[in-house]
Amino acid sequence: MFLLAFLRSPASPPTREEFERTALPHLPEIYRTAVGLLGGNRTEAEDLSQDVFLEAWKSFHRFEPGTNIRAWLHKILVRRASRFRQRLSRLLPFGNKNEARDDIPAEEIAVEVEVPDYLSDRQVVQAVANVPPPFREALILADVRGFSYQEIAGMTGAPIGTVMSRLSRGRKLLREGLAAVAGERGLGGGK
Amino acid sequence: MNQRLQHAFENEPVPRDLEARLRARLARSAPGSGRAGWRTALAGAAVLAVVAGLWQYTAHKRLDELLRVGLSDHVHCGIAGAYPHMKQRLEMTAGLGPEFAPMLQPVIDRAAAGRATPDTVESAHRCTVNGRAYVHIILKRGDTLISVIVTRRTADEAFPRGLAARLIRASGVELHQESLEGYAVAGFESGNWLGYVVSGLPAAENEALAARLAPVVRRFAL
Repeated sequence: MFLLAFLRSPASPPTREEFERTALPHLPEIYRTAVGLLGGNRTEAEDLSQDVFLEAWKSFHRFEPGTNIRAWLHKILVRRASRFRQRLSRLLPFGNKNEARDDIPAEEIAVEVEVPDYLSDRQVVQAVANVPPPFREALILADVRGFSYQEIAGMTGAPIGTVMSRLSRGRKLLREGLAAVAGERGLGGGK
Repeated sequence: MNQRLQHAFENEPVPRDLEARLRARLARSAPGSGRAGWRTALAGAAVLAVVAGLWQYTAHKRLDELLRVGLSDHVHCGIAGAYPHMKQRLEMTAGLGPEFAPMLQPVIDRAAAGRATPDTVESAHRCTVNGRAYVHIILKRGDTLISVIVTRRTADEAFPRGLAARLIRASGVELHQESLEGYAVAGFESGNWLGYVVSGLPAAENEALAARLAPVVRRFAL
């Protein structure tokens, strides 16, 4: 009898309908974030965003209703994207040296980037995607998705100071990237 | 949050069929199975442990019951002193009856094997304890009585298989032994009979003796 009660608790397992109703509205956002995190690779972003939801479905019983499912999905996404990048970097002949530059003091955090109006949305997304990870990760999660430093630290497993440092570096690199795009178009120097 | 960056990302087109493909994969995927999975595994292990525990308990109870069949005769006939004290070999063979009379000398010989002082034979007879008939040979080693007992077994009397039992390699006899009420009781199956060696000897010594005698008993108790 104890065994039956043990097997039955919690009262009822979550249904797929419940999961789809709760989680699927976030699919477009997860996909778009994945595009950014994967450096603009849309094909991989499709697979990755689906994998995020499959993993979320498998562990949906651990999700507490009423808590922030958006942050939870992003956490899964960040972890999976990081693993994907690690796999990819092993295939590349040379690593990106920018990835190691986590050395900016928090107090020097760069102000948000002003994006020129004449750049198309796709150019902006690509400029963000061109920022090297993990600065790109901090940039997207903070400046595009609006997560707090604390939330980002929780998602990435990095200390808050490192998150702030990465964000600062990310903003500087994005500014340089946008200036380069504008320069290519002959529309002025970088800001 | 940077409104312009956010706007750019919100305008990133999402593949039209992405949601449909995801829904299809979700439909094929097993539901959130983490907790149910480990719960089921844990419950399965618990059930297995309970079943194994019950089996062990039942098997030991059964073994205990069967060994007490031999102990009962040793205590009520041998220790209580109710057995017929005999001096003459003829008397003993007559007491065993024609079926088991030829077993007496081999039992004496095997019990004495390797010993400087052979065991003395106190009695060899047939007796009935609690309505059960026994063939009973009583040896004496120093001050210690040793009973070699044979009793016909019923259809449901069988030593539990799988419980740790010492297999006598030469003869293939499975020997079970436990200490019950201060006595070492070794039992084995022998055709339609149950055989026992019961004594107040140390457990290892009783077991060694039973291992020597069981093959002999098996030759006569078919």
